[in-house]
Amino acid sequence: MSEPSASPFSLEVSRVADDVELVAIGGELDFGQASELSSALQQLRADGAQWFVLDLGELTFIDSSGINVLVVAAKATAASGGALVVASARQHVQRVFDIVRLSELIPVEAGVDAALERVTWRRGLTAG
Amino acid sequence: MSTPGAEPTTLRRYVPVAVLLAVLALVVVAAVLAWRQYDDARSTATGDLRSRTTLATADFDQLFSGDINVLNAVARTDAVRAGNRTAMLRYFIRVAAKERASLGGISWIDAKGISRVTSADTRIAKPVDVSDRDYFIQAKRTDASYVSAGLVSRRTKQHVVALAVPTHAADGSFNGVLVGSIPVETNVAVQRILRQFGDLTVLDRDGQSITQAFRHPPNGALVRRIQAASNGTHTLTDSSGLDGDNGRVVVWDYSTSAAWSLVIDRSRSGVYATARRALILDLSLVGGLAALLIALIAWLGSRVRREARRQSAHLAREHDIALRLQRSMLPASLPEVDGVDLACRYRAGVAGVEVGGDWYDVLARDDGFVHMIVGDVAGRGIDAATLMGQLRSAFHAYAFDHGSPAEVLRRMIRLVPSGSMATAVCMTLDPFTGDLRYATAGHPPPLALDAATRTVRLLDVGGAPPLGYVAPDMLVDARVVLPAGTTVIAYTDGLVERRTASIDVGIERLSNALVAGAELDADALAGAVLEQVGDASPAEEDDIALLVLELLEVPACFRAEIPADPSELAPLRRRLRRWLALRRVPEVHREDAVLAITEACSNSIEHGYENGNGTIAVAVAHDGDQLEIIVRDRGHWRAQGDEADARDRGRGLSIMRSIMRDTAVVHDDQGTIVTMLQSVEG
Repeated sequence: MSEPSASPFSLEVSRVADDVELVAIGGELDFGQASELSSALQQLRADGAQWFVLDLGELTFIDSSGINVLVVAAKATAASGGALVVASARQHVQRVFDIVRLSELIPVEAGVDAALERVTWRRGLTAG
Repeated sequence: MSTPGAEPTTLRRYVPVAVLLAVLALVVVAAVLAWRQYDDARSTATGDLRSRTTLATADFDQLFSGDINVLNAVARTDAVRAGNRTAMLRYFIRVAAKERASLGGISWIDAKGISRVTSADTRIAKPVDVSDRDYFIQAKRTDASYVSAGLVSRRTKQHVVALAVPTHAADGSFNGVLVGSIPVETNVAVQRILRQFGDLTVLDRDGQSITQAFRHPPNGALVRRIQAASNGTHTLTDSSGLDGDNGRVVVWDYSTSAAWSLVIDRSRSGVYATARRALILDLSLVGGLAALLIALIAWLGSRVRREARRQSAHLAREHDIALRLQRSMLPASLPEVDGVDLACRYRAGVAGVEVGGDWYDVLARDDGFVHMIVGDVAGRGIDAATLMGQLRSAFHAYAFDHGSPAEVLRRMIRLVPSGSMATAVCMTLDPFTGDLRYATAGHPPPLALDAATRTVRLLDVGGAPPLGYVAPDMLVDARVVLPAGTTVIAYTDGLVERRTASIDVGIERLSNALVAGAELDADALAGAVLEQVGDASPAEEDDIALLVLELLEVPACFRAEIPADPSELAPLRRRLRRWLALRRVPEVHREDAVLAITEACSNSIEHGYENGNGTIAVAVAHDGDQLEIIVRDRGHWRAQGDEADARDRGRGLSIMRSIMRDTAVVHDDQGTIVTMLQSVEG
């Protein structure tokens, strides 16, 4: 059955610099949406993006499927010399991150600005 | 939506009586006509007798006047004038022999009354004194011809009738009487006439019967009556006869020349035999015809009655079939649904000869949703019941597949044939969340009673026209969240519609009954509503169907079986969150439970079902300080996978294990069961 969701999954991409993408993820991220997010990030990398900040401010739910997408995307980005930083996780989302110890795999920042700073700094290091 | 029908039995009962009366009238008219014809026939019969006497009279008149003319001619001959007996004798013999066969003989009597000459004797006869004879005396006295009564000739001793004419001498003085005798018993002319007219009785002036040896008939009174009668034909249709027998028809006429009365005396039965035969024939014909008609009417009547009996038996059978059909389509029992108290009532219209099209049904879906419908098919009888059955089947089929009541109703549109009409209200309730969606097509709005506030609200958002008229996009879902303790009633128009009052009055009455019955459980409330609202006007003939659902306290156990489809996860989480909230589980625990269940379901979807078809059963029991979660699928988790896959799945499992107090995953032939325990003390 198709229940209208109270907080449907949403994905919003804004380019901060040539190869820096700010991706705002909202709603609920589960097995149903994981592949959508995965292919979206893949497409951005294919288009040349190396640096990602994922704004999770509006993300109300995440499960292991969502975590897996983030981990896979972060590894792929790192492998190509870039980086993926997640930011602004809400309490429940952060609790999941803590459970799976996501910070050991992906940089997690409290705010988008800090994440952007971190990405910009890393990018500068790489360029230098 | 009822169509009352009445039987025109009274009319049918009077038709045979009217036809019978008409036949009787016809019989009477025919009998009267037959009687008149009989009368005519009798008149004709007597008329025939009268003609015969008249004709016989004419014949005898002619015969006798002819003879008298002959005698007159003879009287004027010289021989008679001169009294020349020798010449007279010669002449008489010639005349008697040749001129007139009817005259048996001619005699001449002189003025003194002595018979001197007779053709019966070739000589001059011996003188015989006849001066005492009536005919001599009369002819001499009146100087005119005279016909005697029957007498016995003194010369020949024969029975004769004497015709007497006076004779005169040359100077005109009376010189004698010329007598012609007619031997009636042997006279050819007389006998010919008598033979011609059959049973004529001839009475002479003395009342002797000429035809019966001059006997006097026994019935002297009748003879006197006949002789006293005036000239002309006379008829007695019911008299005693000449012989004194009764029951005779007597007809007579009088021959002046012969001084005879010619009488026909016959039995009535003989005379009227033909007429009576005709009458009997007519009457039996009429009687037979009437009997035939009555028999025909009786037969037709019995046929009509048999046909009517057959018809009524047929109608009764059809009614019975329709009733059974309809009853069979109303659910025998309502499903047991956690957290919901359901009750229903159906009452056939009081005057309803035919079965109505009111119906209701309830369906508990695997995902925990409850579908309810109350409908009314316009019309009655088997057609309506059949359409009802189709709508009910559609309800079952589509309610299983579609969570939207509007969608369920939309699927019903094509089942309603053009010209037909059906109304319905379809409702979908999530008993775990109190979430109620409803769609209405031409149906009166359900009412919702809030037990806490004792207020009633109309669920009348988004009402559309009836099925059969509504366009699919006009059917929309309306949504309301019901607090625990809310009672919803859906019903057919028979409950609230009265010819004498607006439907608003009925709804108001229903609303009052709901408030008054707020303390009752669903079944008692349904009974009270039917009694107080439905029976308010007992003469009403429309059917009533009603369905009551009471949302009890939030169920302690959440149960849902959902398709193994990723898109099902978000709705499931939403329902779980609301149920957990209604169960007053602390928010932090709620999200953990939701996450753990999501992980378990994801595993089932991703790994349990390779072909994507299957269901996942989720059950969450809340017993105060603990949640027991069971997620079960009927697929087969892949035992092996690549490293990343194993790690990812491991991440899901580790989440479950981290946030649950106890997690167990069991694979068996049936599938996989994940059991998790979570402490939720506030």
